[in-house]
Amino acid sequence: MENQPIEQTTVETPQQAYVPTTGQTVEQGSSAKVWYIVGAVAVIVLLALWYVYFTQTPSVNTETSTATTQTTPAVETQTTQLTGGNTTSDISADLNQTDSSVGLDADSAATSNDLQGL
Amino acid sequence: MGLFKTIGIVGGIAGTLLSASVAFAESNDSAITATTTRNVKVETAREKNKVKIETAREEARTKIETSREEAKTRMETKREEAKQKMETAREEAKSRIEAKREEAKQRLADIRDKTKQKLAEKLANQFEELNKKWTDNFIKQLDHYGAVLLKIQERSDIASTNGKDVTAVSASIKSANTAIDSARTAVVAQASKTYTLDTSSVTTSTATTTSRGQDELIKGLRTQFQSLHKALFNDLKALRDGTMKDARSAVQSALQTLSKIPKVDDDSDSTDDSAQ
Repeated sequence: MENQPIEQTTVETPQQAYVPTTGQTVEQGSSAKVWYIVGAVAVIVLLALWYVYFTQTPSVNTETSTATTQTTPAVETQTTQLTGGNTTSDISADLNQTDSSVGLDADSAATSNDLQGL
Repeated sequence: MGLFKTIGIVGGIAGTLLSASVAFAESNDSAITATTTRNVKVETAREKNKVKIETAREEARTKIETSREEAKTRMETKREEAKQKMETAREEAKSRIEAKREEAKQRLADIRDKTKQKLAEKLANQFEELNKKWTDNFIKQLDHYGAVLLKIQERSDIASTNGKDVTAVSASIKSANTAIDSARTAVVAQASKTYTLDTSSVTTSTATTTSRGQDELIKGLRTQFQSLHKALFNDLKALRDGTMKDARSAVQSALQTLSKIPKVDDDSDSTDDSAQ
């Protein structure tokens, strides 16, 4: 009779200790899966970002260089056209240059003065 | 157990990474191929566009250049013609007045007062020189108007290439060219005129050796010089205020007509706007 409680205790104790341990292992396994998925997603996102960054950058560079190439002739063409200085303001300035024919009156007056000396 | 878990997690991540890199490598290949195809298409379209722009620009440039050269040649020809005509007219006038000039020289030698004699000799040559000076000046002025008109023509050609209506400007340029031509003709006619002292009309009642004779001589010469002065400056001023002014006004009018065209000073070709 004295052994019964001991056997009971001996039998019950491992059973009670085993059940919670199995539950913890299952919980830890599912948590690890979640972290694994999170990690995998993070890695995939990082890789996706890397892919986007490294594939888009050369494309931008190509466009920039092409744009530069296109701009250069336009600037050259403009420069070539503008060297003549034939805008309306330039032409107006050319036309409004000092009219030398105003000196005609001065010559007339000077000759008239010479005549007075005769 | 914990070690196994760690190994499992690390292995899983490593596997994912490796498989992901392979998967992405494949998708990268396809993405690169797609991007390359797109870039090639864009590049081809851009090249076609570029060629189109260049061709249009080259055609416009050739057109403007041809027009400019024609106008320049026309102006140069007119200038040379006017120069030649003026030289011929002057030579003819020179031979015509040679005898008259010699007579005047002898008559002026009768003046006793050396100061007045020198002044009279100076005046006798002065009118011819002034006529030459001012006719040359007017021709230069007309050349200047011609050059300005050429610039107006150039700007008009650019505007025309950009699709602007330049009908009014072309008409104004034509009028200005006609006005300049008329002025040139008038200047050549002026250059052929002579302003030489005519001593045949300078008479004295007594010998020029006498004081009275000297007075009459000086008085007669003064009248002659005044007459020459009046004739010369009337002619030159009529030219300045007449055909010369008309030529300037015509050029001014052409410029004003040109200025009325919207964005006439915009140098960029319309082909550029449509291409970009």
